[in-house]
Amino acid sequence: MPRWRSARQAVLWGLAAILLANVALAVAVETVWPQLRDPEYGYRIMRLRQLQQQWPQRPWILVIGSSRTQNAIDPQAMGLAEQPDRPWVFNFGIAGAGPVHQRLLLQKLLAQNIRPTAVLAELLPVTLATHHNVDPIFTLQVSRLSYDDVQRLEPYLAHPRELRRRWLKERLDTWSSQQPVLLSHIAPSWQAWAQRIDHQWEMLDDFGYTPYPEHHAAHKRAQRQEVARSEYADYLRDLHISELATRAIRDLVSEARAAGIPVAFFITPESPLFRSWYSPLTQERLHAYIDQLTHQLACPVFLPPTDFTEDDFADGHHILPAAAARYSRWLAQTHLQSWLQHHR
Amino acid sequence: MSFALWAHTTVASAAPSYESEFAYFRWLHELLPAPFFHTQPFLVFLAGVLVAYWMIPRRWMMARIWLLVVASFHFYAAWSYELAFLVTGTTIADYLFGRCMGLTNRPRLRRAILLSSIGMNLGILCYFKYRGFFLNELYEALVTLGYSPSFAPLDPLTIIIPFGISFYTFEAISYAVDVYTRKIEPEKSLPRFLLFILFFPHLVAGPIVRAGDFLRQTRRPKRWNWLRVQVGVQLFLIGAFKKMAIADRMALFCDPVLSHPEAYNSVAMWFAVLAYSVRIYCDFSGYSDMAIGAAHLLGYKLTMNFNMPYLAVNVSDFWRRWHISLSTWLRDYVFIPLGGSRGSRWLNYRNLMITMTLGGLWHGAAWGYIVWGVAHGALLVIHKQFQFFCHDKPRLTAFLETALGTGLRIFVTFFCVSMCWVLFQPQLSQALVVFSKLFYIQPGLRLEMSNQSLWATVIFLLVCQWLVRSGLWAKISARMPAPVLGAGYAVCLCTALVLAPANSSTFIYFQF
Repeated sequence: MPRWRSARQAVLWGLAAILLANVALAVAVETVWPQLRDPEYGYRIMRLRQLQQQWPQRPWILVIGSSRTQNAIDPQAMGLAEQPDRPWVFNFGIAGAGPVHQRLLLQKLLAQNIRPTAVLAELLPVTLATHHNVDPIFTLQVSRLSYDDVQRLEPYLAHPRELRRRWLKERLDTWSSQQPVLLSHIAPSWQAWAQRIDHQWEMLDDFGYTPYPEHHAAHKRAQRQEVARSEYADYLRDLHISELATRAIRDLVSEARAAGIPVAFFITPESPLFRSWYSPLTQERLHAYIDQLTHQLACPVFLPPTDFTEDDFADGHHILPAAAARYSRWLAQTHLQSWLQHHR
Repeated sequence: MSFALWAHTTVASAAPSYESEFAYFRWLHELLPAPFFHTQPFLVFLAGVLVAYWMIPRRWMMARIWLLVVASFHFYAAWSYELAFLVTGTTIADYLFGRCMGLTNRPRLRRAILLSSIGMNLGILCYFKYRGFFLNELYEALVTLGYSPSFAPLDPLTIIIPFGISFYTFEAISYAVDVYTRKIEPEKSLPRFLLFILFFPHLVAGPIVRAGDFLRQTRRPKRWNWLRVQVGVQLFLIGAFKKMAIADRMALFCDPVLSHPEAYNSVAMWFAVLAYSVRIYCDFSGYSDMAIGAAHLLGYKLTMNFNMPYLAVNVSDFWRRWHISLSTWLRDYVFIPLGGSRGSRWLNYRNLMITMTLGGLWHGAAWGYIVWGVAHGALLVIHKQFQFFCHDKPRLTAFLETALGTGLRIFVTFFCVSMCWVLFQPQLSQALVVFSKLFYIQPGLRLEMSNQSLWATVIFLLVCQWLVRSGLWAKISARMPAPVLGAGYAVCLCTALVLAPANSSTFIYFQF
């Protein structure tokens, strides 16, 4: 074969292989390997399916929320899973999730025919205010979204075309956009500490609970509290609940109700310092909002106990494992059992 | 990082500190935010240029040349349109100087034109690159002597240095000198000359091309050649791999340590120096490979810039393999005019020292780079002396020629070059801290990352270089079926994309 012909073949084969590699990865993360697209979602859905296979007939409660939920709801500590007549609880917390994320998650699960007996959704006061425009939030994590997610998000976006464009751009170069996730799977020790995300699945238990790494908590607590203060204190001083967050919560409740799934809300515990950042005006607005949820939407809101100390938290709002177990038991005994009893 | 800390005296930022007042150039900047070859926007730009270039019929040679000139101008203007106009303006002036030199045979006039051309180019280079350094040194000297200078010191961080100014200045000077010495004819075609200087693959970080070599290529009709395309694609992929998977990865080890050497322990410092040596090689040779590859895709052949320099058996050999286009430029336009190796041994040593010191100064306006050049000059002198020492010692010479002796020479050369890299930074005080940590065991922080990937990279690089040096790779690749080779390209690219750290750093040599 002439040399030019073999050169042409090599270049064309290379081009085809590069295109194929990109398409293959793009299709894989959309379908069979969601954990490579969005590990927090992908690994939890894997664990959830395993539990559903294990207990196909048992009722179960889906807990959705943010990283606070990830750290606070320890289903095993609730002691429900061991009792065959009781529902088991699955923690589907996603870091940074607000009402629109929660609504999206429920839509995704229902679309896959994953139907919980009840939904317990976190009410995170800060996200009620900050998620007034979710375009930048989802644009930043666009590589974690599937094509269906982008479509589902459209009603909540100011510029849905922009998100579609960004999503397409990421998918055209899937190897780059999924790079941190891929490397965290292949060789996590080759990454800088700040970029490692393998803890998202390494620390995940069978029920979706992620304990806050205790050895990180004790030192630098003050520093972490300062970070939390700079991020949240201003919002908590003058909290304005956004229309978008309210709409997403209403949509979530309507969709769950349409599927025959009761919804309750809960607020995770906060440290005395963190609670001190709430102004009386904010507390008033929050209570009014909770009343609205309780009466207009007929959804109970489980308020947290206030007897936790600073040492129970890593940074004032991410709870440490021992306190999480205590809170989870309290939640199960004080609220969940009676609430479920009511809905039986 | 920290890259800015490591080399803050001569920072050429990828994002100029000013906003263009013209919407067109703002739009251009959004399309191509940084002139980095391994980024998506550049690949789109390159693909667009390639399609347009090869769509133009072969007989419209000048149209193709104009297309490349316009594309190159836009490539630079996307970063800074003012500086793109400056580069284009000085290029037109160099063209006119060349034409004027060609129009006269009067030696004095020709000499005056030559000096004007060199003066203009060096003047612009000094204004942008060395003004801050010399003014600040003068300021400090005057203050030390008890005077109160009437001018204020310049903040080096506020000086914008045009990308690649040292590279295209040397190209313009070599053209003027070659025309003056009648080595080449002055170029009559303006677009061809503009392309010689502005050609985007070599514009910002070389290789430093010679007019005789490049202008000849502009006259040859370009045909689509699959062999050439394959070479271009391979070089581009290899370069991207070196930059993304190796150089940027090594930056994770060396940048935190070398930007705060006082905080780290001695072991971390040795790892950082090793990582920096690997990084600077893969960063610059990776860029050069991509530049040469991109040029091949357009039918141009740029000079080879690296030839496995860390396998050099002595420092002279290292300079025959490292940044070849600069070392040959310095040889032809500084070392030989100074007298080269002619004359006494001491004159030869003097010429080596002057040449290497200028080479150091070329890299940056700071004492660190000057001392780095002096150190390399000293190493070259020591090597020459050692050669004389070995002259009448056949057993020693024979031992050095054995495999063990060769390995030892490679190691010693690598060690010396790596130690010199410690000096390759603006702040000498930082270099002294690094040396003290290297040679006196001191406590401090350990490397933040596991050094597993550092060792894996070093071993991988050694194996690759051994495969190429032994000729095994040439044999293997020649017999490889096309589909396997094509799959290899995909594996190379995907591996580079996966191994590249999330925060890619700029090219080190872009600041020069």
